[in-house]
Amino acid sequence: MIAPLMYGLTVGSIFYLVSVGLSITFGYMKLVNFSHALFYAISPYILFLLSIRYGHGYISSLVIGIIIVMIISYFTEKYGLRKLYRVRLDYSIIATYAILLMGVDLIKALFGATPIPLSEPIGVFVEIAGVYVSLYRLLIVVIAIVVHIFLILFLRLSTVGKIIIASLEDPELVSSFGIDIDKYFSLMFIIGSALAGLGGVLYGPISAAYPYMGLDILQLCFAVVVIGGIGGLLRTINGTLVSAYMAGLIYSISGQLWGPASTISIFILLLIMVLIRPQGLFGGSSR
Amino acid sequence: MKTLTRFFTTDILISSIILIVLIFILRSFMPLFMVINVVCFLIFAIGFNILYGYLGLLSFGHMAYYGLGAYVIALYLTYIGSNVFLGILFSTAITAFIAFLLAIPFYKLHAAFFALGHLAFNHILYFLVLIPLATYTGGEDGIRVPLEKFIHINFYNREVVFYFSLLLLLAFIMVFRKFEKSSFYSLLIAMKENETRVNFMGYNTFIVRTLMYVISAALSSLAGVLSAINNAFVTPSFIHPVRNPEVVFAVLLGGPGTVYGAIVGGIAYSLLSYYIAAVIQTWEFFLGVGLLTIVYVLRKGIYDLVYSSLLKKVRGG
Repeated sequence: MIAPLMYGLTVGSIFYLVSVGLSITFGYMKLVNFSHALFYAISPYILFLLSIRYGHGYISSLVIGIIIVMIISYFTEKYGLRKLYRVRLDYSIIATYAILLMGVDLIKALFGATPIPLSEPIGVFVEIAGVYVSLYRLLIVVIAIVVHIFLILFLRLSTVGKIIIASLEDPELVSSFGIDIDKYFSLMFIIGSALAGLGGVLYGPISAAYPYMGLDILQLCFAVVVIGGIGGLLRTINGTLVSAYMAGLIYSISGQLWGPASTISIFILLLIMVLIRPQGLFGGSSR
Repeated sequence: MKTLTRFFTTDILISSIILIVLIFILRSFMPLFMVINVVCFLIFAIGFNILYGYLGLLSFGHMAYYGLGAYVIALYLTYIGSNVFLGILFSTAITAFIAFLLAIPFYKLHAAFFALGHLAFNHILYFLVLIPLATYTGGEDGIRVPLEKFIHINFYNREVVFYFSLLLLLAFIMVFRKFEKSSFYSLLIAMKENETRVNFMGYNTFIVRTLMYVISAALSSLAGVLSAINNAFVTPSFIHPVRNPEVVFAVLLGGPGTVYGAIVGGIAYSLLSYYIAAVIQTWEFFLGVGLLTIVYVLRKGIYDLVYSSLLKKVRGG
């Protein structure tokens, strides 16, 4: 039972990293952001390019990959998505889907459509309760938890974080203080995208890098976001954490019981959730 | 005679003639098989437009109904009977019934939740078809649609399928064009703007929404049925959730809200995907560019653009 549990925690961590950005854009900018999948898919390719083709170290290629994702997401937000905040939802779905299509096609043109296998950077296994578990996967869980703690501390304690919370809650009031809220939206968007990039670059070595990898995980992450629910910003992030690990465990355990059931069990959960409690597990009724 | 002239107003007549001419132009350079698929796609677009264009509800899982129709007719003709017309009725009715059952829980949902709930529903159906019901549906390999001769109508003959689906398409255009002139349509537009207020005025919005939802699902499934007959084969690609954007894009391209918009968009999208895919390998990139143009520049769609510019010229503005 340790192996599927461990796998569930790993997948849950990746779900969490990808879903944080999604839940913010979905909850506050009222935007279903398909281009998020692109940010997830870009970083493993950059990792592949730098570490395998040009022989850089794993850590440095990881960091460069995330920085490139941040730059791309900055421009996407500034010139594309900013005009779509709080307009009709369908336009945002289509525009972000279009960005995703273009990005996926560019990846295909640059690297080809065949999956590129990436090897695990740390080939060390640790024994837990008689089962050998890859240290790398344990590390992913640790990284996700650390990221979560840092994110919460950043939002709670720093001035910038407090402004972000306030401007997401009530943009008009904050902008009436003379604060340029667009800048803070942009910052939060970049943080979310960078976390998606981190998720991609961490999960890439476990599966492989392929152009549609983002789209596959994105649909599951929408499920995670809806299951978690949208409340206040901190509550949303905490809810995303809980629902991501829940989804990850369901994913791995149902997959263990019956192979094909892993993905679909999350969708069944989503459907049930949407029908009986559309605001999600931790969704507040205030918003 | 008077009722007939009242029904066939000039604009309906002109538009159906234009459409027929267009379809026959398509026939002259596309294989007939593809043309029928275009016609099916247009019916699908009309069905989708009812929900998205009239009521403003974006479903990101309408392929579920399309595929449901296709699979039900394949199973009907394999296991129950050989009468194709009854099969079409049967599969449309079954889909409408399922849609009716789902419309009740989906009624509570709005915007993104409506879209994502449908996506989940579509994923579940796709999964059901692919794995647990594989003994009946053939799983990944798909299932043949046995089309036996009914009286003298041979549905293996593509010409028959072509004229049959074209007739249906024309009928739907007329009905919905007529519908768009009615006061019921104004009610739908009011609901699209603000459902709560319409409810407050004393209309039962639940019944209206359920009715339109069921009609939309039935039309989508009819499109799937016709496409299944045309292909004489049903594969999981008929119900694949990844194909959902196609119809959304088509309706948006033409301009949601009118049946003409859906038709224009459907034809434009079919031509685009047919040609660009043949000429350029990275056609998805250009699809993305086109979509961005629609969203940022051409929000009301091609039909509105052409129509309003023509109107300006006619009025001398």
